Amino acid sequence: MAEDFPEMPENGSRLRLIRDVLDSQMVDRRHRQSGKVDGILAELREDGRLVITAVENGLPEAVRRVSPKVGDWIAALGRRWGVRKGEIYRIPFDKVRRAGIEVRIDLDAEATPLLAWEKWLHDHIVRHIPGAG
Amino acid sequence: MSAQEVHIERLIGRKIHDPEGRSAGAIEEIEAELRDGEWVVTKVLTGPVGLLTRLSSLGMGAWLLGFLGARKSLGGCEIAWRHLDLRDPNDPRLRCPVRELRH
Repeated sequence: MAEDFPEMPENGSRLRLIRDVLDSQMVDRRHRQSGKVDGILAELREDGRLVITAVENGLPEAVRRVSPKVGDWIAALGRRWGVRKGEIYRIPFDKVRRAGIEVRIDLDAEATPLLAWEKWLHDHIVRHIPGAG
Repeated sequence: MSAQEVHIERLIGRKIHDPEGRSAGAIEEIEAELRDGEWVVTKVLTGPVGLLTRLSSLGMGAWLLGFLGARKSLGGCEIAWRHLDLRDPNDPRLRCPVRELRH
């Protein structure tokens, strides 16, 4: 089901980063929900331009918005016990194809750590439930 | 000098001050434009205008405030990127006086 994936928008297209990208649901090229956009990374270049480079997914990044210190604690706990070892996963912004209610990302989430928690829950809990598929 | 990393989400709510120390409001929305394959930040919206834009309700919000007689208090600015100094993301600065901006 690889399909009708949206192409890169046209030159001159505009994007509202907070309304259309941040906290939006990411959907991969197989239409799987792949977590939310917890952060947006940019580069302040030497020529003065601020260029968007990546979106980030990971609980510590979301929490750092409220409290950087608590975010750091969660990252430390994640490194010790987390399924993803506290890893913040970065997706290059050129993989973002469409933003809005959901952000379409041009990658296969299965091949990334984005679905690590889903897989862990499936392997350790869901598959032990009688009748679970 | 290498490029400096900036977390866009951590800019939300940061107050922008002009060289005279006056506030241009807090950052509510950031707009980017696709230029030659790169998304480049072009403007920042502050105050209630920015917040209503972020909530996709600028038109209705402004109308409602006008209806309630509070239109004048709808503050906030649209700040072109060239007017912003973001070398310290924790303390964003305006390069020009706030009165020169479009409100």
